Amino acid sequence: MRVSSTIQTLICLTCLTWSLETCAEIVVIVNQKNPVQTMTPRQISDLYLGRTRHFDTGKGNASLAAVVYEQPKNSPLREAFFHALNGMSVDRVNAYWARLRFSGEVLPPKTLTDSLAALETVQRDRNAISYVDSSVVSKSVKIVLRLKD
Amino acid sequence: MKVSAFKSLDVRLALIVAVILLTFSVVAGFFTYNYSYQRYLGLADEQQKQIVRTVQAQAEVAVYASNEAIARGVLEGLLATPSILAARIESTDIFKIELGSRSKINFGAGKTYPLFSPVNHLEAIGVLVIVSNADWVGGEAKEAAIFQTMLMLLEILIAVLIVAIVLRIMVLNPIFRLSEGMVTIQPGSSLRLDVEEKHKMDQIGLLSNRINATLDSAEVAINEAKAQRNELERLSTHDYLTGLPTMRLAEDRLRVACLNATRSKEKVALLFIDLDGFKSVNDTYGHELGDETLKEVAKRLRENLRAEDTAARIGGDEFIVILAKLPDAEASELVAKKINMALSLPFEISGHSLLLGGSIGIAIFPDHTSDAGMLRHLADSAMYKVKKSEKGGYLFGEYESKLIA
Repeated sequence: MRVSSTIQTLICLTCLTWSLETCAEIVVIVNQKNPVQTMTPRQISDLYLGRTRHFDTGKGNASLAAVVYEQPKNSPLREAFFHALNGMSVDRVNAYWARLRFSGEVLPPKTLTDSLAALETVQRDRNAISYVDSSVVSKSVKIVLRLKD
Repeated sequence: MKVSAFKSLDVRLALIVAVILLTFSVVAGFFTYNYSYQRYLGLADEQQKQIVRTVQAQAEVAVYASNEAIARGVLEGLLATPSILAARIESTDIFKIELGSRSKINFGAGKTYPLFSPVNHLEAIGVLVIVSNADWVGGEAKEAAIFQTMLMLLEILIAVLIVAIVLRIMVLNPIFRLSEGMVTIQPGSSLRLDVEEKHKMDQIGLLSNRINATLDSAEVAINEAKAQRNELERLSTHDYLTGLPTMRLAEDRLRVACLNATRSKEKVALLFIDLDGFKSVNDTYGHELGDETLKEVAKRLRENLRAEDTAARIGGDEFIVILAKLPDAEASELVAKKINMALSLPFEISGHSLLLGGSIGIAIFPDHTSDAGMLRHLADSAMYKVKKSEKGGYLFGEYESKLIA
């Protein structure tokens, strides 16, 4: 188990140092306890741009607040994520958030150090949503959307 | 002479130019005003577009995130501009925020600017409606237009003043100096206008030169007229041929001499002289020679008289001599003898030697008569007696006077 975990970590690190071509797929992940099974790019985009702050759990279900986790601001992963999600460049996303943050009402997503941290956070937090490279994802989290680069 | 302000050329020119330019200004002012007004409205419109451009991204984020605080911030920013009366941000769904300085704003009259999604710039997500403060913008435009128009009118006014001042300096002052100069110059005088160096080549110089030329010809003409007048005067009192006084002047001299003699208890002699043999000279040699002879006679008479005496020609070959300030009658006899002698000498005229003579009748004032007219009559009679009796002599009119008396 320990060996496999180490290998996993190694693979992931290697992956991060490699270029994006090798990380062909980005997966959006939520906690296993989250009732949401799949999400549309639009829904995820709305969460990441602060338009909505809840998961769409369907009618009759108790609403679930969403805690959005971001990859480092200028990471290739983040760039690839938004590019695949809604076509926005990182610069535009940053500018957007700079404006939205101006109001003081909305807090931007919390930023994590890397995919592993994201994985751990989502595993732990029921309200969490984040995205990682498909190569590091495990069964401990639920994949709600696969984004092809 | 002082030129009144309203007749002065510079004032008149200024007035004429002012009237013409004022007429022009009314038209130009009208266009300037309208142009400036429209231009300002256009600028205000452009300015509003620019303002919108600066807040558009913010407004789009506000609509996209349905963020009221940001929307309000945008609207407050817009309303800080005095040209904007009210503004509204509305999304294609229910989100709508509006802000205005007055309660009832007609947003239908406002200008609508589309807002696009920050994610997809082709997807319209709402609009920004801006209601302009028409009163304020209109007022500003009016102010700007009035300022422009005033500026133009001021320029015109300054131009008019400059024209008037330049005219005064360049034309009127020199003309005034010319007229001042003319005051001291009388027609016929030798004074001339000074032509200043700077005006040598211009119209003022031309005018001065023309005036000076006119003064030149006036001087010549006036001097000629003066000379002619003097000559006429001389001719009326002097014989044209001999230059001796005429009877008219001689009568006057005689009267003056008699008056003086009465006062100084002196005597005046009137000698009446008729040439002997002159008629035959005239007939034989012609008038021209006769004239030359008469000139010579006059010369000889003058030579034998004192300065205070007068010899005059009173007819063809008749002369009189007035001897003034005589101490006694005998003195006249001496003169008569001298004249007789002088006239009996041959006259050398044009190669001819002519022999003439003179018959002289003498009357003495106041011995013979104290009446000047009678004096002449007596001398005349005495001369006739000489003429009848012996040639080349003289006779006193004594007897006659006694006879008449």
